[in-house]
Amino acid sequence: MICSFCNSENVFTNSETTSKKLFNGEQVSFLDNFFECADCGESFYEGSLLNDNNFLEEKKNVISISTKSLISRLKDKVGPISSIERVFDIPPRTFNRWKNDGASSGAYVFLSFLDHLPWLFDVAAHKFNKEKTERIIVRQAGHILNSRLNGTGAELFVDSIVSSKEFGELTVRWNKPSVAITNKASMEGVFEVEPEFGYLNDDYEMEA
Amino acid sequence: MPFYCLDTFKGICGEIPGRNSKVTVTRGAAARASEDFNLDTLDKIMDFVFDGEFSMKHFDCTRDLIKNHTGVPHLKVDSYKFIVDSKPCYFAFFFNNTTNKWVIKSLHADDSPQFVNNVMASKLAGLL
Repeated sequence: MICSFCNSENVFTNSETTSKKLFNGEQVSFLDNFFECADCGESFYEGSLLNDNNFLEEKKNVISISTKSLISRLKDKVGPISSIERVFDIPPRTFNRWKNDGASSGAYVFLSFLDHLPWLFDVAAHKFNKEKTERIIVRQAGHILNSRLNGTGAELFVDSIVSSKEFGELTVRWNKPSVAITNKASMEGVFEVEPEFGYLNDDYEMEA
Repeated sequence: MPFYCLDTFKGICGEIPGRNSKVTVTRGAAARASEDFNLDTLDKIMDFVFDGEFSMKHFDCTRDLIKNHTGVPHLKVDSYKFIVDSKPCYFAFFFNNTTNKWVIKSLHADDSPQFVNNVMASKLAGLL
């Protein structure tokens, strides 16, 4: 083995336990095998010492364990598993099979999304109706903003919520004063204003 | 002007299973590729180089490879910047004709202010 950085033949194999994050933040720890050059210090991977199998095996274990806890959490966050299966038109007892035999990558992505954004269940329950979906998003945005306002003495009134092309974020406009909130920093700025607010609740209707 | 032909390197990354004996990935590049772009295996990294969708791709520069070792050959490193998953990305590679290996030296999100500003300007102009 020759180091491709310095052409030294003083290359040895090394290994250490390391971890990588999955797309949903779950950690996978695995034994990381790599080459290391004793002369230039560079560490690298090559085909003759592929790590992918070590990682993929551990990833499969993590997904299997995580699937079980995701499904348990969904019962609390969303509702009965049979309802989730019915609303998303998933064959009955599929969740049970995922729990016992492991979920495919696609199924795991679906479960992760539903765990992270449980209101997607409501979207599906309304058959992905665009207006209903927008209303659900507005309601969720209201919940989040009100929780941020909690303790500040201010209440929230939203006069319009529009989708922004800028990094796909929601831009929320307040009626008094007219301030656009696009990130945490500007939200904190708004708290100091102590404006007059209306109140956003679950019955909030979007204005046309 | 790039020192290497990017398309040649992309082609190598598309050779299965030949790429495993022709391409080296630094441990640092693999770690950042996993963290920033969810490319958690060498196969995914090479597939990404081979057929990834890169918008706003542009050649950044050619630099000398700097390593603390005497007798180091004068290797050149090409770097590119582009947009992946709405994030600015930095990618650098080189070829060592002594070992006959292509090396992916860096693959990570690029948070340099200038490039981020360019990306934001393009987003606002509706180009992305």
